[in-house]
Amino acid sequence: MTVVGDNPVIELRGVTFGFGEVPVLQNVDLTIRRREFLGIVGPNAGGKTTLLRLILGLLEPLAGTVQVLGRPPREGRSKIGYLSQHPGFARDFPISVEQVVLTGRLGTGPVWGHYRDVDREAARRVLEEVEAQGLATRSIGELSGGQLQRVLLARALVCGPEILILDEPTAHIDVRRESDVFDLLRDLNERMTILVVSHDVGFVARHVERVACVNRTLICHQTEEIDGRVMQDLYGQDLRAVAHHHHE
Amino acid sequence: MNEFLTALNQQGFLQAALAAGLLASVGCGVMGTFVVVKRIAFLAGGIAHTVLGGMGAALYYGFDPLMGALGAAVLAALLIGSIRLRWQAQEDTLIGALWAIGMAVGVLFIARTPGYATDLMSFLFGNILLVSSRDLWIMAGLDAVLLLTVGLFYRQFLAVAFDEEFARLRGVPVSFFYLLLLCLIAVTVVLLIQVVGLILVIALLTLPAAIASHYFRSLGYVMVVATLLGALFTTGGLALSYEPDLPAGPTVIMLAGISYGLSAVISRYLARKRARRSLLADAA
Repeated sequence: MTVVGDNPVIELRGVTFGFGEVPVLQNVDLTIRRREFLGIVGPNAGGKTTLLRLILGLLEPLAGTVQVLGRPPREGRSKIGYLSQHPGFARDFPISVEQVVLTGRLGTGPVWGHYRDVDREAARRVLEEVEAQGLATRSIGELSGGQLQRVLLARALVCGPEILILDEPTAHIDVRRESDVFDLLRDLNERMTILVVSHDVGFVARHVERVACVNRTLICHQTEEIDGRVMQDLYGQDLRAVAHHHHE
Repeated sequence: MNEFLTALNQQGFLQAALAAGLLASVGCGVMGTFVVVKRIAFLAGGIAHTVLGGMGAALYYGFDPLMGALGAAVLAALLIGSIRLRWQAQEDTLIGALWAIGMAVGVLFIARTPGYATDLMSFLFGNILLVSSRDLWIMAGLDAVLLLTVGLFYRQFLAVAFDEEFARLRGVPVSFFYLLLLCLIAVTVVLLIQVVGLILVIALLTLPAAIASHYFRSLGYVMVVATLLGALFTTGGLALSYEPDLPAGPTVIMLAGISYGLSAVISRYLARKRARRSLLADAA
């Protein structure tokens, strides 16, 4: 088992959020401890990505508080590496893999001028870690879906984060490669807290310690609790219908 | 063409026109690249057309139209940028409205200014042959501001152009750099208006960078090549238009437009050929 520390790295208390008059999350409590590996599952539009965006400080809760490393998200998020499900760029943007990864170094070093040698060295190291070292000079338009995903993981890692947040990291990767990704994440979990959103409950359940089910409300399970019946329920229409026997 | 070269040797106004074209191509290469990769041509078009309001006001109140243009362009950039940042849902409508209102304001001012009817045409379609040496100095100064700003904050501009959300998470003040980027585009628009006028600006702002991005996969290369293409089009347009006494601005745009069309066809053909070769190589 992974060693779990005492300090909560992420803490949500009574968080409520909605778009316009549509409620998305209601009264969500969540405490994530250091070096935990948490899976987040739930139906589409159930609020998984919204939960991540609240933790990242990209959205403000209507009620309740969010803390990252004991601080408001906007201050704490510099220690978060984030891989979004739908990155906001066009694939034909003229930029090399190395330049993409280097954007993850912004916020370190001086404001003006170019990247430093330490930045390039850090980029080289993370590309090696995600086994994409051969791609550095390629342009992003030439990458396959799986290669791009590795590069974006490298971009998330290059700032040396304490927390890694991944939104559907295996969405563009074939099934054979999925295990590789989770092996890599397990290694990374030795030094950082990891949150993974996935549509694939069964897959998450095999690899993480604790699962948060998000569908407007949030309910956590230890993965060993997820027996056949719970799994069946999780795949079903309404995740709130799952019979819960909670530890917390 | 020979006649053009002879005239270039003798005529000061042609030399000034050539210099104006070359100075404008720096802006068109560097900032045009951002316009193309960030896909904000419509936004840049809005800025360009709103400039007429500033030029008209400058004429009416009797100060330098170039300064009026600069002020209006920067104001339009800040307004349009704020619209984009705050009211994304109605971005198109609001920019379109600002576009037309800016022009309406300009036309009204010009109508109320006695004796300036001919200026309207040169604002709209450019009159590179009337560039004064003072204009050239201002253009050179604006180029210096562009290059210095982009040079200092190249990483931030690249990050904001590439992926705004990620840049924000890395602590880059995205709204600030986005507005700064638009202000620099506004400055570029004013540079290019000297050459082709405000209606045709959008073509010179986008086509050289679009052609360059057909062949080069790094932002820096695209900027350099787009600058060279911009220089080629303005100089070529000037030379082609001289002998038959055509207006220079539209000739420049025709040259750029035809080159873009050819490049689009050629680059597509090359991409297909490359894809086929790589598929066959994989199959073998």
